[in-house]
Amino acid sequence: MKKLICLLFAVVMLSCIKEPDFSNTPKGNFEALWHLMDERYCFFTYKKINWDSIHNIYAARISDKMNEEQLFEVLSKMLNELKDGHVNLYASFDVSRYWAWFEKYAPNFNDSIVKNNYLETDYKIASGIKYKVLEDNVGYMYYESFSDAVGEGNLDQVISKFSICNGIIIDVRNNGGGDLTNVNVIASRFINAKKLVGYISHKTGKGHDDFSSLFPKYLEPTTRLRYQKPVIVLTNRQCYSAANDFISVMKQLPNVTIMGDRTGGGSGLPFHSELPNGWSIRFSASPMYDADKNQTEFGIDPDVNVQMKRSDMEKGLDTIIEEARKLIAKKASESI
Amino acid sequence: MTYYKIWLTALLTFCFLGSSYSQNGDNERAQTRSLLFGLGRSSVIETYLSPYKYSGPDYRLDFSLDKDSKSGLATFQHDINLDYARSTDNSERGLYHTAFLNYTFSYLRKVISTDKLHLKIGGAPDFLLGAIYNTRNDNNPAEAKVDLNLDFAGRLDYRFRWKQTPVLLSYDLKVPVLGAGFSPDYGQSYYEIFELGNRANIVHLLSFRNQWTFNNKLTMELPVGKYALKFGYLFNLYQTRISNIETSVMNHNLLIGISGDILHPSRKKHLQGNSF
Repeated sequence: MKKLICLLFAVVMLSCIKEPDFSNTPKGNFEALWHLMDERYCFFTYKKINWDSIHNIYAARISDKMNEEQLFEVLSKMLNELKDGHVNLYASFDVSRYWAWFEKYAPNFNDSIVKNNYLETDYKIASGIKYKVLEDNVGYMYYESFSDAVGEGNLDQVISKFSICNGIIIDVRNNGGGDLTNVNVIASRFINAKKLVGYISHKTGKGHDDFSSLFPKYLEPTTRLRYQKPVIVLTNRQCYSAANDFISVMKQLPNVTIMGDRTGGGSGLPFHSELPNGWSIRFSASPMYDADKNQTEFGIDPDVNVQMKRSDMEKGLDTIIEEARKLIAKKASESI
Repeated sequence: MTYYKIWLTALLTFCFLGSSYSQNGDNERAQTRSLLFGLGRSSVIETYLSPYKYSGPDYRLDFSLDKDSKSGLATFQHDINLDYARSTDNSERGLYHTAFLNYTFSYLRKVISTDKLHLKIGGAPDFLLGAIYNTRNDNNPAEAKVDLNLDFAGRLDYRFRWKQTPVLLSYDLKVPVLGAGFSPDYGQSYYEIFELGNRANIVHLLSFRNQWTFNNKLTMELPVGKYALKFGYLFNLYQTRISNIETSVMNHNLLIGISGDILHPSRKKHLQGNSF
């Protein structure tokens, strides 16, 4: 009987699930953040980051006499060592961010030029897609955020409207991402057979290299209206996260050309967690790869690199849209 | 409020008037239905969402139907539990909504039977469906729970009189022993599971190695008219450790409700005598 009680007691003790022992102090919150990232962040090895040495550097800057703003500043700087736009610390008074992936580069997009000289005032809106047929019979659609849900009915209308066009320009410049499910919904309109378009993996444990095997991502053609003519996708450095994934997928498709600047990247599917003081933390948890099993965390090169010219902008022209129109016209003439 | 009243009325009608198979003959044994409302406290740790403990008020509906076999040696028990908790972390910046639906069907055999005391033990298939939802997470907003277990089930009934009033004291215990349950992998998103279809490692064998769960319910019944007033205390611990994801849900509830024996109109008689 004693043995049975001991065994039962042992099982109960083993089964105890407790919170981590991090206090709600500057040091406690620092250690909680460091350990959380150490166990769950997915790009340490790929980015060759020595997280232990980063601990030593930033631990020396933490004091329990710090106020919230000072603590936030130190923690933000530590997180920025990861060079990851998907890593954010959220406090009630600020959000930490790493935006060097676009801030250090030419914007290659001018919202006013697109609105005033291309979309103008007579464009149509299908959910998050603004679209219009340009004078040279090119379909132009601007999709600003993958957070804007796009339904099959919306795409039926857009594709139907563009069916007479020589080609389509899909402008996803400054699209910072959103819902990944919208990627396949749109891309499935431009493919006729199932195709491998990438891979995904996830962490299986707390070690930096504890990953599942790569799981293939396939794109299947929609059973609804599909577009068969040339498609040009416009990119810049602010194409991030789901938009980066969209470019990775579209790059695999026939009739599709990626044009503009390199994308911003952001291939780690982000998760959320939190610190003892309640600050929320977002971090890359699950890496995604292109069809050749390459990481796309730091962006994807376009098929045709085009930069905005100041001289064009002064005339109210968008260099990248103009180049896309020329390419569609060229492809249309070649197909005759 | 109107919806609440309609819903409660429908539920009570179902519990106490809706029996279609209870009036089959004089030699049928007792059927007891009880409906309890529980109010208490829940504490939740779900490391897929956050490493930290969330706690807050917990609300429970517990409906059970007990039916004795003709020989009186066995009892069949259906038990449906609906539980909801709204909990926050220590900083009160995070919010969880936790909801569980639990159905167990117990088959219990009498192993000890005296005038005052009955001990029954048996097995119980146990189905649990639930979710813990964190209002501020994006790609890991919730942890879904779908478990199917075979439980060890036990029930101890003790009857006594308190100032001439017959009282039934009952203790129910259910401990899942072996089963299967759903869980994503440590860093796996629901996007990968459901949108991309990677379902390779999401169903896990559950045993004492990775699951430590037990449901305890202590109740006391006092006859009031045709039925009985029932009140008690419930302690429910649900713990799993699967794919490096730890889940702990601990509920304490004070229960109050009514129970009735469909075949024996007077619950007082039932508590006093023959059908015990």
